[in-house]
Amino acid sequence: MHTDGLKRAMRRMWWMILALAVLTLLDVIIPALMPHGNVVFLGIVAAIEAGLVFYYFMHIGQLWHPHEEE
Amino acid sequence: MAVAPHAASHGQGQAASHGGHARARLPINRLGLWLFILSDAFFFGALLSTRYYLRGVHTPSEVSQLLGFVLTTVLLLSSVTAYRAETFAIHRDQKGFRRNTLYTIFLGLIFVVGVGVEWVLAFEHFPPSTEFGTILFTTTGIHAFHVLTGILGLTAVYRLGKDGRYTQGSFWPVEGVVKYWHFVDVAWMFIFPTLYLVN
Repeated sequence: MHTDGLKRAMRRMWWMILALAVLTLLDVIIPALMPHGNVVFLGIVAAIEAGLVFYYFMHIGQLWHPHEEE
Repeated sequence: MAVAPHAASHGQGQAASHGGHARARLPINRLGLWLFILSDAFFFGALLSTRYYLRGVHTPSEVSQLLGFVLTTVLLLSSVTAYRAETFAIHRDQKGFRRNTLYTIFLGLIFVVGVGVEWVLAFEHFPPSTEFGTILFTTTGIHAFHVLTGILGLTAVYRLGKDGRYTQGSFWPVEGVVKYWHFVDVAWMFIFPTLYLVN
């Protein structure tokens, strides 16, 4: 059971690495494609990144399900 | 000296009771940490809004976007190693926990050095007496201070966790420090576009 949980957590980590890499590249690509008026788009990308970290890395859901370990 | 059976079982009972107590406290510990994170988020929000208030959305062309990108990558990688350290602690893998905590500390130190390089470069173009200089030095300085305190916390759990206390008993200290580390990463996700990219 522990091994299953560990595998699941590591799979989640790889998906997060992929998502954060894509979003960080978007951060750099947006100003190159759109030198002016990019603040809203950059804000949206940052909010998505923050949401992913809050949910998958910081387990914010544990606040509503207090005894969930993972 | 041999330990009487009843004394041993009493000790185990105490440990179990302590474990149960720690488990019962977990939700309130988590809520307290989240409230602290929320208050700190307001602080960073105030710093970032100062930048927009003073400078609008204009970013000077001398800002090194490449350095900002490298710093972001280092911090994101450190978040991954911090997640791994916490996961290994939860799954009682002492070696994995300690190794990944060390990686996180190392990446955090690289980030702080990177901010130092950024400051040296920034002094030439935007001294602290200028508008953008004030914003840049204040925001990156306060963020770097958060990274330093995170490194101190990680070093503490690394040293205290040498005897396996977090992989055998309560792992809340690891969870707390790692959550704080992730928050510092999230704060940078907003600082990076605000100071280096927006226009």
